[in-house]
Formats: sequence, structure tokens, C-alpha cells
Amino acid sequence: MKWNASLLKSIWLLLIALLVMIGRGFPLPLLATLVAIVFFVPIIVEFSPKTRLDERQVYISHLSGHWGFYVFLGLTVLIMLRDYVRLGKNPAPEWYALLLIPLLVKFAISLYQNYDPKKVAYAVGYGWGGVWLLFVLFSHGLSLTALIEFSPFALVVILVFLFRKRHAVSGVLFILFAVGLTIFFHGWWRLDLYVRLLMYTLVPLPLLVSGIVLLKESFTQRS
Amino acid sequence: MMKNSIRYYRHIHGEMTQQALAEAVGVTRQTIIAIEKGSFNPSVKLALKIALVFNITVEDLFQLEENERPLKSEKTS
Repeated sequence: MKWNASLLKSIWLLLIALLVMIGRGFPLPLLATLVAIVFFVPIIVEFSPKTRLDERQVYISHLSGHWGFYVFLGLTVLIMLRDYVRLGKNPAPEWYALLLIPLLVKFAISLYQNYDPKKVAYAVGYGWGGVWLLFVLFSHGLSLTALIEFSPFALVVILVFLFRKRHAVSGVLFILFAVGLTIFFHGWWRLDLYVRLLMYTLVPLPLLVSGIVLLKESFTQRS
Repeated sequence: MMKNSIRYYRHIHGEMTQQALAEAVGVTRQTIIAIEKGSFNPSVKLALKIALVFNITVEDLFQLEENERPLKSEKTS
């Protein structure tokens, strides 16, 4: 438990955000049980002596918490300037979804700091591929369209797997694919700013960060 | 950040693994890696624990960089 407690805290924060976002559709007994689990179990764990963090994990927890908080403040200022000042209205309910962004920042920092950054970068890349595959399968089933839609990412995953010993090459592949996705989804610029922010944070950004981490690790190893 | 000789002392203590050292002082392996790389400065307590494992002093294990050493004050008395 000791080695991943900081990460569990981040996952817990993400679960709270998800529960707030989708909880309204749940039956009351189920919602009450989930709220009890999500809110009270981590508090019990936090004060349990068996889960004492080491000093670096406490540092990571504080560091990631601070960065998450700064991102939250930045988003709050953006919302105030855009909605209250410029548009003169209350923000749309979609802005609640933006709360995922500071939580993702905290989660990403905990993940990259608690484990070997190279392994995390590859895990994020392959994991992202898995999510893409599921998305395609749920949308089109086992069909030619699904194969065509998944093929660009399958190609990247295969290339990254083949060059897994050469982190710089894998890093460049992830970065190029992230940039390619940004260009491919240029239609998102027509969406509302908050939805756009969320989409770019969830789709190309994880791959871009993975690529940058792999490049950085590659240059650090050489030096 | 400080220079350290943990890698050296692990080597002369029968190639002690990072995991074994981590378990001996009650931290994670990633924490030992970070200290060895110089990307994390341990607390005095942890530094003392690591020094005790190798049966040396903290000064043998950790050294300040040249530019981080305090200026020596002249004694007036």
C-alpha cells in the first residue's frame, strides 16, 4: 500500500469528479453507498498508520496538489473573465467538467513521479491506444470502418513497440501523432471553449506529454 | 542539490540493491533512485538512517556542491 498511496489519492479525486458528473442518474441507495465509499474510505486510509507515506511521496502529493490548485485557479480566472466580464452571464453547466483538468494534472504528476517515467509514458501511450480501440469498437463494432479508423493508431503502436528500446524515436512518434490528432480534429475549434479545452486535454495532450517525457529521458540517459 | 556516494557504498556492500536499501530504511525504491540521481534531498532523519545502514557518517554519504557551501565567517574572538 505504501508505494502507491499517493496515486490512490489522485484516483480518488478523479472518482469524486466522475461521481459528481454522473451521480444524478443513479438510484438513491446506490448513490449513497458510492458517496460513503468515495468520501470515507480514503479518510480512514489517510489516518491509518499502516499507510504512512515516505517523505518523497508526501512531497509528490503536495507538489501535485499545488500544481492542480494553480491550474484550478487559472481556469477560474478564465471563466470569470470570459463569462462574467466579457459575456456578462453565468457560466454554462459544462464548466463543471473542467474540474477534471486540475485532477488530471495531479494524477499525471503523481504517476510520472511515483514510477519510472519511461514505463509510465509507454503505459499511457498503449493505454490510450486501448481506449481508442474500445471507442472504435463501440461505435462501429467489428467492421471494416472500425479497422480503418483504428489503423492509424495501430500503426503508431506497432512502430513504438518495434522501437521500444529507442525512447527518442518512440517519443517523436507519440509527439507526431499528437500533433496529427490536433490537426485531424480541427473541427473542435467550432465547439464551446470549455468543451474544446477538455477534448484537447483528454485526447492529444496525454500522448504529447508521453512523447516529451520519452525524449527528455532519452537525452538525460545520453548525458 | 547535493552530491552523494550511495551508489558507491551500495557497490562495496556486496552490490546491495536499491530495493534492499529502500526496505532497510523504510522508503520506496523510487525514493532511493531519486536520492541517488540527486533529484531529491532526503531529510536529516533519512540521511542518518542510510548512513547507519552503511556504518558511515552522513558527511561520507552526502556532500554540498562547491557553489552551495556557506562563506566561512572570520572569527572575531
